[in-house]
Amino acid sequence: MTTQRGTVPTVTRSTSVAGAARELVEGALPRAGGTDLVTCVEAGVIAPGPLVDLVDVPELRGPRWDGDGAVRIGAMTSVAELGADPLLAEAYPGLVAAARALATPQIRGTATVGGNLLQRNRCPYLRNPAFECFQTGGDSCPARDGDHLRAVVVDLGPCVAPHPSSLAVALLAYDASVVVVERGSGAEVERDLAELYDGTDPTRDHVLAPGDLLVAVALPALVSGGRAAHLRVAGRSRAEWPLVEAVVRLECAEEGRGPVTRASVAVGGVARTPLRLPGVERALVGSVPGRAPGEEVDRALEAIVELCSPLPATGYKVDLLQATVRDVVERALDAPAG
Amino acid sequence: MVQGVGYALHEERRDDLGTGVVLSDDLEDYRIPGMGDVPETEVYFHEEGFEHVAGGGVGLGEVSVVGVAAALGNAVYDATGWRPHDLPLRPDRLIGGLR
Ligand SMILES: Cc1cc2nc3c(=O)[nH]c(=O)nc-3n(C[C@H](O)[C@H](O)[C@H](O)COP(=O)(O)OP(=O)(O)OC[C@H]3O[C@@H](n4cnc5c(N)ncnc54)[C@H](O)[C@@H]3O)c2cc1C
Ligand code: SF4
Repeated sequence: MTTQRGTVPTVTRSTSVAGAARELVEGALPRAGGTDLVTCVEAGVIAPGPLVDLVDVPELRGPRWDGDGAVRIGAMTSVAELGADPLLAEAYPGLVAAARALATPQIRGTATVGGNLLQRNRCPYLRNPAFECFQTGGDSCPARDGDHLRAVVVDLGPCVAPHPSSLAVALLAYDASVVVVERGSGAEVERDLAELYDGTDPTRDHVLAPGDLLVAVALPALVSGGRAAHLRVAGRSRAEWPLVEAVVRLECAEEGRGPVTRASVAVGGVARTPLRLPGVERALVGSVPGRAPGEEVDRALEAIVELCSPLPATGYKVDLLQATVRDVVERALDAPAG
Repeated sequence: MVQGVGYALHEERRDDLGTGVVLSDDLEDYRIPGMGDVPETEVYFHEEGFEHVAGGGVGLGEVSVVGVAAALGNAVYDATGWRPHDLPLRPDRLIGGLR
């Protein structure tokens, strides 16, 4: 693919979901904040074409709560809005913490929830015009035998670029689903967030078909007394991609004072998709808030090694993943009950 | 000194060894420190200056850069017992050293 630096695309501004969906059927690319799309088009990762800008579609903006405490967050809600919402912070603290920690204030102000989930990965080969790979129509992965210092440690398939979305990690921990208006039928379909990604497909970073429109993420209502924590480990303190990122969410008995009844642990930066760690989740049941995790949790953390299949240069991420999960588990047990 | 932090912790040209193509060709992949990576820094000036330079001027330049890597390397040794011998002091190197 050639570099198209400088070409000016035609942009249509839609004001409704139906209008945007029509433009997409005509072959337009959806532009949300544009922070990833613009650089991908410039680098030749996404073929240039007419754009439909979603910024003026009010239906896509902000959280909408239903009576039972479940919420739908519109795809065009900015990452900064998500990070500043007090009701979301109370109900889903792990999600809001992940939103506040990613990228830079400028990016968070522009980037959207939908764009964050559907952004392309940050492999140093992907945006470099000197290389072709599975993701740009080629038939190999130069990173696997080349420079893959920041790549996966759980090797799910031919591409070894970790999934870039921090929000996906947190949303996975909260059992979120995504609401998509499908191209063609125009029908609104809701499916688990995990189904948005396929780690074994090396050609793309999410499975939505061209023309599909992500309209919202849906979060289930939570029982009271939950606790959560988020942690990202990176080589620099700001404007840096995490090497490993984790969100832990605990449901506890007796309005949060009693032992853990259900845990979810999601990690990012380690595989082609965000991952849940069911072994650690099971081991956490019975842990007591305010106390250090017990032996069963220690054993489950040890067993993370068996989940890992490091590349020659990513062995360090095994230790980093174990240490990060341990740390975030301890933080969640110490967190105030919500 | 901030440049010294970059030299010690972040800055690194990374190439694809098969083709020789430089991979670290932008400021996302060629890492330099940001404000959050630099501690509060006190700067002392040697006010007498150099006798042999007119006006007593002292060139700073590299002099202020090189000591930072040694100081950070010593700090890592002091904190962990592992002495690094390669720059930058990357997370993977530190973890490898501690194994
Ligand atoms: C220095 C830096 C550090 C960063 N660190 C992080 C980090 O730590 N964690 C993290 O998660 N991200 C990080 N980012 C990336 C940033 O979060 C993403 O660029 C941003 O979230 C993308 O959102 P957007 O709204 O700008 O998407 P866009 O660029 O507008 O869109 C991205 C893609 O999604 C498609 N799309 C967007 N909205 C829809 C929709 N509603 N329906 C269908 N398709 C859609 C677009 O067509 C495009 O292909 C970082 C970026 C920078 C520059
Ligand atoms: S890791 Fe993925 S994006 Fe990077 S070169 Fe390999 S196939 Fe391409």
